[in-house]
Formats: sequence, C-alpha cells, structure tokens
Amino acid sequence: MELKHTWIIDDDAIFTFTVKKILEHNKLANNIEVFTNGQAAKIQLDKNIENNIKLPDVILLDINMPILDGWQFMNYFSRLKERKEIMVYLISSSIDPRDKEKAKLYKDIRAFVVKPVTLKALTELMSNSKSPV
Amino acid sequence: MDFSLQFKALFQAPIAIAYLDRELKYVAHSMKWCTDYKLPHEDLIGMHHYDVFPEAEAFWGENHQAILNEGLLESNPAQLFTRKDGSQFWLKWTHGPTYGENGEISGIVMTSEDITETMNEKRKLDREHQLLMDATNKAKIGTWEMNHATGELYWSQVTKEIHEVSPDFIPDVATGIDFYKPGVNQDIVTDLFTKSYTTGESFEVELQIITATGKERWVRSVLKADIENGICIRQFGTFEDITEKVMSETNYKLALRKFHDVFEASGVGMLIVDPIDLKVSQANPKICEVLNYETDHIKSTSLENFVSKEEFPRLFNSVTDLLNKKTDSLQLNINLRKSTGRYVICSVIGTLIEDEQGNPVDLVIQVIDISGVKKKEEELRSFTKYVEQQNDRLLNFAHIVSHNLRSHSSNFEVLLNLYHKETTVEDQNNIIKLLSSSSNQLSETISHLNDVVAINTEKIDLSNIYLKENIFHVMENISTQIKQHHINIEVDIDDDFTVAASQAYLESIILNLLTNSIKYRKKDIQSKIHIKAFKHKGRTRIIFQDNGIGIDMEMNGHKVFGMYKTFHGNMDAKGIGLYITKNQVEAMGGTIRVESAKNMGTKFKITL
Repeated sequence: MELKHTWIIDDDAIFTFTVKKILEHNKLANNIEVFTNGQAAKIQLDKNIENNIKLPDVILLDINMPILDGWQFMNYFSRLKERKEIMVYLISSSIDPRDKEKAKLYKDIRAFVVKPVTLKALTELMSNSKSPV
Repeated sequence: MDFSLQFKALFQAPIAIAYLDRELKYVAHSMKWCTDYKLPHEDLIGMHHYDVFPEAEAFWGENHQAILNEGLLESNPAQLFTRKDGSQFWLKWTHGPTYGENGEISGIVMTSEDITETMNEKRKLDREHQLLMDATNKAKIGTWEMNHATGELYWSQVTKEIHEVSPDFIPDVATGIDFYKPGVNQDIVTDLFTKSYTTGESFEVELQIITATGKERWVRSVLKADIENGICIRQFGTFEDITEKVMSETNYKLALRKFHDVFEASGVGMLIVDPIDLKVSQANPKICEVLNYETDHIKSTSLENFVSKEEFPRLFNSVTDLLNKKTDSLQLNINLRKSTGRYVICSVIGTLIEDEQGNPVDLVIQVIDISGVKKKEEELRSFTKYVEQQNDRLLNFAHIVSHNLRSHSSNFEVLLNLYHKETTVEDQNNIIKLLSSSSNQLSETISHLNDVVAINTEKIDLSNIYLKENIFHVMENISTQIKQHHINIEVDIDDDFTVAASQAYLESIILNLLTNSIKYRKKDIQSKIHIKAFKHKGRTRIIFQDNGIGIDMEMNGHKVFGMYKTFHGNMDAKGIGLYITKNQVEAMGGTIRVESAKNMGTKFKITL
C-alpha cells in the first residue's frame, strides 16, 4: 500500500504519540506531521499553499482543541479553493449524536471515528483513502 | 154594493194595493202601487196587469190562474226581486182572491210592501252582529247574559268552549257559579254577582274555574247590570280565558326569583350592566368581595371606572362586537381596579339579554379573579424554562464528561498495547511516563467534575456579604502576582454595600476573574482592572472590567463559558475556570455575561 503523507491535528499529546507510533509501526503512513490545534494547522496550510509546498493526503482531525477547534478548522478548510483532494477523518472521544450529525454537513469529512482508534480501523482508513465513505 | 167610494178611498191607502178583475185588468189600486213600483202612470184602471208589468206573466202567470180557479192565497214576508235595470228590492207581498156577492171568485187582490230599507238595515245588523261574534271568537272572549225577566241565562259559543261544555249545554246561574273553583273563587263571584244585581255596579275580576273536564283555568269575568226603575232586568258581561297569560306571568315571576337567588348566592362575581353606557344596575356580593367595594358604590357607576385607560378600548370593542352580533358572547381577560387602587386580573364573560324585538336590554357579566391562576401559569412557565435549561446543561455536561473520560481511558488502552510491542527498555519507560501523565490527567478531570457536580447539587446558604471586604481579601491572597505584574485594581464599591451570596463562591468567582485578567493582560501597557457594584431593580450588579487582550467574540463567543474551551493557547489555561464560575453564579440564582473584543479588554457583568 502506498504510504500516505498524513497530518494529525489533535491537542492530546499522548494520543498523537500513540497514533504516530501505530502508523509508523504498521507502515500505514509516512511523513507524519502533528499539530496541537487547528490554528497551527491552518497557518501551516496557508503557508504551504502560498509556497506551493506539497499538501498532505490525509488529515486526522480532533474536535476539541483550543484556539481553533475542529469545526472552526473545517469551516476554514471547506472554503479553500483549488487544492488537491485531501481525505479528512474526524477522530474524537465524543459520542454526542449532535457531533455525528454535524460531521455529515462537511463533504470533506470522510468518516467519523470514535476514540480509541483500533489498528484495524486505522488500516481501513488509510487504505480506503481514495474512496469516499 | 157600491165599492166606488171605497175604491176612491183606496187610492189614498198607505200601502200598495191593487184589485184585478178576472181578466187581470185593474179595477182599483192605491197611489202607492204606482209610486212603489215607480210606474209612469197614475191611473191604471182598465189596464191589463201584464201590460203594466211585462215580466209578471212569466213569473206570476201560474199563480194568478191558481188564485182565480182555486182561490190560492199566498204571501211572503220578504222576497228579493231584481228589476230590469239590475237594481234589487225586497218585497213583503200577499195575493189572493176577491169574492163576489155570490161567493164566486171575482178577481185578485194584491198587496205589497217595499221592505228593502228594513231588510238592508236588518242585514247590516246581522253583519255587525256577525263581525262582533267573529271578533269575540277571535279574541276568545265569551259573552253571557242573564235575563231576569225570563230567568234565562245565555252563554255564547266561546263561553261554552271556555267551560269545556258542549254547544247545546243550557246554563243556569247556579251551575254557572259552581264552575268556579270552590272556596275563595266561588265566594267572590257570588258576592259580586249579587252586588251587581242590587247596585247595578260593574265589576271586573280574575278568578279560577274548573272546566267540565276538570281542568283549572284562569278567567277574566266582567259583570254588568241593567237597572230599570230600581229593578235589575238584565245582567251580562264577558268571559275571557287568561290562563296562558297568568301562567307565563307566574313562570316569569318564578324565573325572575330563581335568577335573583342564583345571582346573590353565586361564587362568581356577577354584574348586570347597561349595554350602551355600561352603567352597573346590579352587583352581587361576590363581585363586591373581589373589588372590595360596597354594593351601593358599584351600582350606578359605569364599568369604565373599574378599567384602566389603556385597557378600556379593549373592553369597549368587545362590547361593540357583541352588540353588532359579530360575536355571541364577550370574553376577555382584563385588569379591574379594586378599592385599594390595585388591579386584579380577571376573566370577564358577558352575555346579552334582548327583548322580543331583539333590542339589547341588559348585559350580564361574570367576573372571575384569575390572578392566582395567572401566577401559577407564570410559575409553571418559569419552572419549565428552568427545567429545560437544567436538562440542556445536564446533557451538555454528560457529553463533556464522557468525552473527557474516554479521552484518557482510551489513551490508557492504546499505551498499554504499545508497551507490549516496545522492544527497548528506554522505549518502555517512555510509555510508562506517558501512562503516568495520562493517569494524572484523568485524576484532574475527575476532580474538576467533582467540583462542578458539587456546585450543581449542594444546597448553598446565602448570607449578606460585604462585597468590598470580600474583594480585598482575595486581592490579599494573590498580592504577589498583583505586585509582580504591576496590576492597578480599582474597587468602586461602597464600604457598606452588601450582596446576598455564598462567601466561598463569591471568593472563588472574584479569584477566577482576577487571575484571568492578570493572565490575559496586555504585556506592553499598564494593566488596569476596574470593579464596581450597584443595585438595580432590587438586584445586585457587579461589573468587572479589564484592559487585557480581550476575546474574539465572533469566533469564540460561544465557548467562553464552555467546559475545557480555551482559545489563547495559554499553557496553564485549563478551560474550566469560567465554566465553574458560571456554575457558581447560577447556583446563587444569578447570571453572568461577557462583553469583549480582540485587544479591547474584557468586561464581565454579574447579576445576583
């Protein structure tokens, strides 16, 4: 399987550590970048677009983050024009049905995954990246 | 016998008379014969009867022969004839034979009398009589007449009907009186009948009779008497069935009394009001109680006086709609003024009473004090809102809790899995460190949750706290921080200003707000914090203003008081401080709001 350029946007350091480990161990992704909140990710995204730097294939996005949370990031993201296709997966500890409903409103969000993320789930996500959920 | 003298005398007879011989030629006649029949001639002697009366032959021919041959004698007291010109006349006539010396039939004698006038008169009387009969029949007024000369008592058809006797019933005075109800009724009628007989006085009386079929009826009896030469020759009068009228009057009186009783006893306030000028004509005890006025005070006042100027148009329009038949009844909730000047909210329901022509006579109004009901409604509404809010908070809280606990517990799971996969001790130790960290975070989260639950469930006692004192106490606790960052704090509150609050919560709130202001101060200018407090409409307002970096309300406004929501990337910002502060304020029955803009400082408004 082709290795994906992946961004993890989540403020939980332990979670990002574990996911990164799993992805690397199982060779599901390479070039993994971690951002602790939506704002940091947004800034980087803008910069990359401006300087024509390669954008990620996959984004694993958390909802509850300081400064710019997952929803606010998605609002910004949806409005980006002329970019390559990026699969966004919403990963959250939230079981609030309202969050699940809200996720459906963003066409860029391919799936809503509830923590803890199993290896199986991650494998599926990374391999299914081309097809929408 | 020489009849010529007699014949001459006959000419002047006061009746129409004519003598014919056997050949039906006139031998003698009176002048009246000519004038009565309007004959053109004065002297008919020798003329043939049928020449004078051309129609006579056809009509009388046979009769004349019968008279001549058999001596037929005929008469008719009244017969109607029609002349050639169509006019009519009534005739009383006789014709018969005359006899000669030897007893042979010598001719015909005819007499006639024009009684047209009499007949017309009679017919007129008959017509009048009939009309009277019809009228009395229609009015169902019977007549009666006692002829004392003959001793006969006459009852008209209607009189008989009223007594429910057959048309051929023959009444007499004794039975007549017997028809009256035994007791008072019979006594009165006997008495009046006798009085009328003796004095000739007229009487009119309403009494009860028992008809032949046993029914009770009310009658109006008029008694009159004709006295001639001191003797009563005739007593008469009319007889009218007034049962229906009496019954409806009795029923009416009964209904009136029933209404009056209900009106007085009703537990609902009632007013009878004139539909046009709204003047109160009657007020029952209950409405007097509701409005706290004496009956007399309310009566003769217009309803307008009990309604405020602003609300009167509503009442007026409702009454107008009712009068114009746009609505069947009046229904509205309106404030009525009591004697104390205060208003009480009442449910007012009105119905219109109309007379037979449909004209409005009275407006009957029922008034119910619904202030209690309204209050309960308001309480219920308020309570429902409160419950809804609580539910929302609870749901929110539940999700946050689950999210946070899951975050940490899922980390545990994953870390433990990874531990087993790590090959080096170093890596394993790394994992253990992370497990430790995760465990601490979990503990902290649980601790926060405990705080929040405690705030929302524990009953707190409110006491009067001296606000200024409380603030100074907190400032003392963080005096190091304040000095270190050169924070200028201005407390604009009276020394004796008190607020109903929980000491502990109030301190916690002030502390949080102060530390936040310090944490989010602008680094390049003198930091100022301004606290002021005042009373407004019975509640305490505390305004907490700083000149710090402010909050982008557009982006983060909805997260300010949220749980674990931070937006400045500050290292020691947990995102729970304001959440707890809000919970504490609300637990004391107050509200907290924030006004801010990026780089423009922040203002917190607390209402207790």
